[in-house]
Amino acid sequence: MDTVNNLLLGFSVSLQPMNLLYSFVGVLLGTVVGVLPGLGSAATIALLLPVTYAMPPTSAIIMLAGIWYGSMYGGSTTSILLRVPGEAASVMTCIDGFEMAKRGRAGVALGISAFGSFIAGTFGLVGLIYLAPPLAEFALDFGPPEYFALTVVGLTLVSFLGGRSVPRALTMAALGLLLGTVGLDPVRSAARFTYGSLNLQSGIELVPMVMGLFGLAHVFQMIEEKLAVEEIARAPTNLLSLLPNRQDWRDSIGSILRGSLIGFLVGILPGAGATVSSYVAYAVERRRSKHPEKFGHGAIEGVAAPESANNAATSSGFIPLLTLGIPANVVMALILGAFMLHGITPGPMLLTQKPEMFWGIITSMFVGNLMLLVLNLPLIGLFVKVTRLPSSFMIALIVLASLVGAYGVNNNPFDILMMLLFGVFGYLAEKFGYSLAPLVLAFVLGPLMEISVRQSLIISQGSFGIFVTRPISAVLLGIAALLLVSPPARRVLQFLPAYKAR
Amino acid sequence: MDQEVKRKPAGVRERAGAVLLLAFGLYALFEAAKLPFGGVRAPDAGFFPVCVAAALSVFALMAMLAEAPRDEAGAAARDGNGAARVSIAAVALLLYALFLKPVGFLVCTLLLMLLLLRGICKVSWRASLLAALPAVALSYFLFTRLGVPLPAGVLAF
Repeated sequence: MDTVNNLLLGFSVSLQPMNLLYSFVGVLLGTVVGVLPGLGSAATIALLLPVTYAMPPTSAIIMLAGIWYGSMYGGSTTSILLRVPGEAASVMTCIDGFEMAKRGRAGVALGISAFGSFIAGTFGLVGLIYLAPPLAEFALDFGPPEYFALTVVGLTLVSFLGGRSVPRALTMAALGLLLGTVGLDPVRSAARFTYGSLNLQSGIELVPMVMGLFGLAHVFQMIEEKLAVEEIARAPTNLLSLLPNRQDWRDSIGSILRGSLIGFLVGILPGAGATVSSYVAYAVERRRSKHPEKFGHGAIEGVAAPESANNAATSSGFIPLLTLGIPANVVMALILGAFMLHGITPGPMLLTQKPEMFWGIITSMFVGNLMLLVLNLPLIGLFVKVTRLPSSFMIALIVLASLVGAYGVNNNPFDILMMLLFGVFGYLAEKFGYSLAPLVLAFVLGPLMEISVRQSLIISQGSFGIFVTRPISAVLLGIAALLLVSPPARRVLQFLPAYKAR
Repeated sequence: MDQEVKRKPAGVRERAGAVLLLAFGLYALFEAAKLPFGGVRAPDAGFFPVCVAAALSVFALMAMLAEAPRDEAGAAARDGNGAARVSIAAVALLLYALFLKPVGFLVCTLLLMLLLLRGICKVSWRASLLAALPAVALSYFLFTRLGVPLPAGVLAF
């Protein structure tokens, strides 16, 4: 009964005309950026963060969330028709989706991808509805040691699951933590790394930083290598051709359900998210298939599973953020930034102190998923045309939006300089194979980590035992320690003859 | 797409990033050491920065010694023209930030847009002007209406 009441409360918020409009704007923008190769949802959310200043907080989060899950829908269109994944999470869809398109089944591939995404998105939301409240209640008992352990395990998982190289990802996480210490010390207000600059006293602003790392860095990449796409398979013009037949449904419904479950579970893990879940779902389908040889040659299961997984993961990615205040991925870190811009700290108290916001955001995703299903199928042809927008105009547009956005934070050109600095850094980091996600997550989590560790040590009068004598903290730190020692341990084992003989 | 990522020992180019980060970590450690450290019973302002700067240095050292994925090594080597275009854009943005207040948003942004469209992306003069003029004017009008006081500069009257 509680759940029904909560959902009714949520729908009373998400169905308000203004919130419906913001949800629509979010999913539409999300689909467009999902379609556009290169410009990802993180960059778009970063560019739009300043715009949310003037918006009511719930509407702002509803719009940003719409961009996130909308981009998953859009990403599949270009994967199937152009063999260009608009989003990293759509890479697996390219393999069989494009093969289906080459065989004249583009409509069915797009259709099953949209229906699968809708089913998975809804599945993920049901999981979110039932899992979030008990988790939030459980987290009410968390003290500083538990929060410290949670941030440690979160950053460790991000480094292990999200990065291409663990030492590099850990380096970026440490750099993010260090950048988070710039400004006044949160406990004693001593200036740190400010070099006498008043601009740095309040710390490095999140908005110019992420606009630089994602928006401007992407512009630099576009300037360096012109991104060009060509339509290889034709977009279907007949709506009926998008509807899968009975056999298609029979072949893919199991994959959709398994993909949804995998996506939901993997999406909760920090660092894993939509991309990893789509890889896992594809691999599982291929392994359990009676005809694995069909994969890579237009198997409908190869489209249904990864597309379902990445959408379920976008829903479950909200669980750690809304219940613990810990972002599971870089987009969630940006949405956490949007919460903070409005003076709201997501976490266990959000559900009790702002239930209308909590349930409003969740139910808005139901509404948004439905909008996407209705919006996506008839507009596929139009979205394909978006990819033909010349990159030169995209560059100018992104730069203009970044400049106004960064300046608008404090009406200070210093923020443009910071954006430029992070833009150059982001560009070089990508070039040298350093992932930016651990840096942003660590930057956002850094203050919580610092306060937690300092408070824990004050409570325990300097004993580090506090982190291992409390069960939750001990388990979490144990997981982090296992992850940290596993690569060096494997390396040592490789020198042992018994290991070599395996 | 699903290509296998082969690994090889990191070369000079791949190690350059890690060396820079290691140098930055050591510098941050030196600077953080000047802050009051406190003790484990009452950690002060320098406690956390010292710990994370040390961690940064250690991880950067590990990254320097670790193997590099081959696709990343390839990504580090691109054509010189692209890098020159990026450098020009970065310098233009630096000048933009420095001159925004005295010269004003309209003039600075229009010049920057023209440089990006015409100078860097080689769009025709006509198309560059047709795209830049309305975009700059519209964004000025829109954002000043939204309460962002974009500097008028030399056009203030």
